[in-house]
Amino acid sequence: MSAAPAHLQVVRPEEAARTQALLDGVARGDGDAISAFFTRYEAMVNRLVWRMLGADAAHDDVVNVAFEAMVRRVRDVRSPGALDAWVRAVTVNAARMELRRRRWRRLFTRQLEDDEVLAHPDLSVPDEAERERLRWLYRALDGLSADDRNMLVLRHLEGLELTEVAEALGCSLATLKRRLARAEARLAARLGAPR
Amino acid sequence: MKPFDAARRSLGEGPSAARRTRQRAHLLQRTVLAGGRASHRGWRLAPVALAAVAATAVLWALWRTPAPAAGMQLTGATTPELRFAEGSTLALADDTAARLDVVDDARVEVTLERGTLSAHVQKGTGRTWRYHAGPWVVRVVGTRLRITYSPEAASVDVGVTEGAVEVTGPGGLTRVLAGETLRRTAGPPALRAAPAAAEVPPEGTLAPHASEASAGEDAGAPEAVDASVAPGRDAAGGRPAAAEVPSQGTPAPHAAEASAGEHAGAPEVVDAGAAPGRDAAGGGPAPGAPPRHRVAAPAPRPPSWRALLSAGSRTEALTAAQRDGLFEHPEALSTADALWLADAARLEQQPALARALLAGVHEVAGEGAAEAAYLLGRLEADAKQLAHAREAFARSLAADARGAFAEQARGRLLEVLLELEDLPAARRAARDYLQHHPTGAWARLARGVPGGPPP
Repeated sequence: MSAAPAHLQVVRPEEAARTQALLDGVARGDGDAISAFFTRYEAMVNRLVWRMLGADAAHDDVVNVAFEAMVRRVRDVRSPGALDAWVRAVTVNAARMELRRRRWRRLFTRQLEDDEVLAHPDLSVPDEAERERLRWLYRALDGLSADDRNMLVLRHLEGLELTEVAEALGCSLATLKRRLARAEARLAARLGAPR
Repeated sequence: MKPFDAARRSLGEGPSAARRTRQRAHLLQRTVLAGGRASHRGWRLAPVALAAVAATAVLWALWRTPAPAAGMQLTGATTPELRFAEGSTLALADDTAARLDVVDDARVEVTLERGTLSAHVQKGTGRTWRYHAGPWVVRVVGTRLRITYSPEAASVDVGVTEGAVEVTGPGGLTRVLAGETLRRTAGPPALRAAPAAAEVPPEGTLAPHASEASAGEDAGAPEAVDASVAPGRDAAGGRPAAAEVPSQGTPAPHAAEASAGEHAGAPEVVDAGAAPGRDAAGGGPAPGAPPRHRVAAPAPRPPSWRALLSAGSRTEALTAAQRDGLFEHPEALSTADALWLADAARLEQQPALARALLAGVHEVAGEGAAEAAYLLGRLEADAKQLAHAREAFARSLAADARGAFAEQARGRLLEVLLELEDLPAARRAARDYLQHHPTGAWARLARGVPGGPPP
C-alpha cells in the first residue's frame, strides 16, 4: 500500500482522539489546552514566519496574530488529520498580510529596500558576507510578485512538498506547478546565477 | 536551489527560546484572561511590561474564572449571567440551557437549547450576534431582547425592548422592532404589538412538531390569520413573509413542496349542490335534486422564494424569484429581501446577481443600507472593481458610521485606497480608522500608511 500524500497526514486513532481533545479545549478557552497548542506548533509557526518575512522586525507581532487567529477560529478545523495543514495556512495568511503592508509602505515611500528585513534582534549572522548574501536573496524575492515570492519561500526555503505548498496558498497543484516553474526562472534571472 | 540552502543555514530556525516564552505569555493573556476575545493588536514588550505579562501568565494558572468562550455550555442554574468585554450581557432563566458556539471579534453565536434568555447587546462593537433557537435564527445588532424557545412545542417567542432584530426560519424573515413580540410555531407567524415584558404565552400550544408542519400538514396549527404585518410598517422595515391562507377550494400543496413557512390547509372542494339534495345515506343525489356542480380546484401554487429560502433551497429560491420577475427591478425589493436574496446568490456562486441586488437597495441610511453597501463593496473588491468598491464602502459608512459594519467598512476602504494608490485619501481613511478603532484589525495597516497617523 503506498503512503498517503503528505498533506493528508495519516493520524492514528488514539492520536486523533488526543488532538480532538486538544482542539476542544482550545475552543473552550482552556488555558492548559491553549498552552499545549502553542507548544505543539510554536516551532513550525516561528520558523515559517521567520523564513517568509526574512527575520523581520515585526516577526513577534505576526506570530502573535497567527496564534490568536488560530485560537479564535479553531472550530474551522475539519479533522485532527487536517490540523497541521490548517495551522500552516493560517500562519501563511498572517505573514502575507504583513508582506502586503510592507509592500504598500515601500511603494509609497519609494524605498528600494526594506529596513525591517533581517532586522530582528535574535538573528545572528556575524559574517558580513553571509548577511549580504541573505539580503541579496530577499531583495530578489521582494522584486517578484507576492504569490511567486511566497511559493518559492515555502517550497525551497521551508522545504514543503508541492501539495503542502498548494494547500497553504489555497491554489490547485496544477496551478502551483505551472507558476512555480515560472517563478524559479524569474528568480534565477534576478539572482543572475544558474539554478 | 543553492541560494536557498545557504539562506536556510544562515537564517536558522527563528527567534530565541526566551522570546517564544514571551509569545506564549502574550497568547494566554490575550485569549484566556481577556475573555476569549483576541484581536490584532500590535505588541512590543518593554522589560516592565514583560514582568507584568509573566505575572499574568502565573495568575491565570491560579485563578481561572470562566470567561465567555466558544464551546461553553451554559445553564441558568450555574451561569445565570455572562458578561462580555465590551459590556454586552446574557442572562439565563433557571430552566434554561444554552451553548456559546462562536465568540470572536466579528460575531457571537448562541444556541438556545431550551428556556429563556435575555440579552443586552452593546451597539458599535463591530460584532454581529445570532441566537439559534431550533430552526429559527435571531440576528441582533445593538438591542435588548428576550427569547424563549420550547423544542417540545416547536415554538419561539422573541420580545424586543430596544433596537430591532431579524428572525429567520419557519415562517420566513420577520423584523421585530422595539415594543413588539413575535411568537412563532411551525405554523404561520403571529406578531402582536405588545410590550416585550408581557407574559410569555403558555407553552404546550397545539402547534405540530416542526418536521410535521414542514410536510405540509395542518395538524392543529393556529388559524392562518395574517397578523404578521404590523400596521405602519414600510417595506424597508422588512415586511415579513405573509402567512398564505388557502382559499376555499384550494388543495394543499404537495408535501414535498410546502416548506415550514407555508400554511398548508386541508383541501376543500366546495360541493354546492350536495347538501340540500343528499339522500338519507349521504350518498348520491336524491331524486329531483338539482345537478351537482363541482368546483374545479386550481393548480397547486408553487412555493414562494421566501419559503424555499427558509427551507435552505437556495437554487430553487433564486429560480422562483426570477420567475416572479424580482430580478428585473431589484430596486423594488425591500432592503431585507435584497440582502437575503443576495446572500443566496453569493452562496450559489452568482456574484454578478448578488452585486446587482445589493446595488439596487434604495435605502441610504440605517443598518440595512450599511450592510448592503458593505457587502456590495466586498463583492466589487473581489471582482477587482476597486473604484466601485471604494464607493460602496464609503456609502456604507455614510449610512451608518457607528454600526456593525463600520469598522470593516473603514478597514476595507483603507485597503482599496492603498490598492488604488490614492495616498492622500488613504491617509484620511487611516486617520478616520484609528480615531474610531485604535486597536482594531486594520490598526497596524493604518499606522503604516506613509505620512499618515503617527504609530
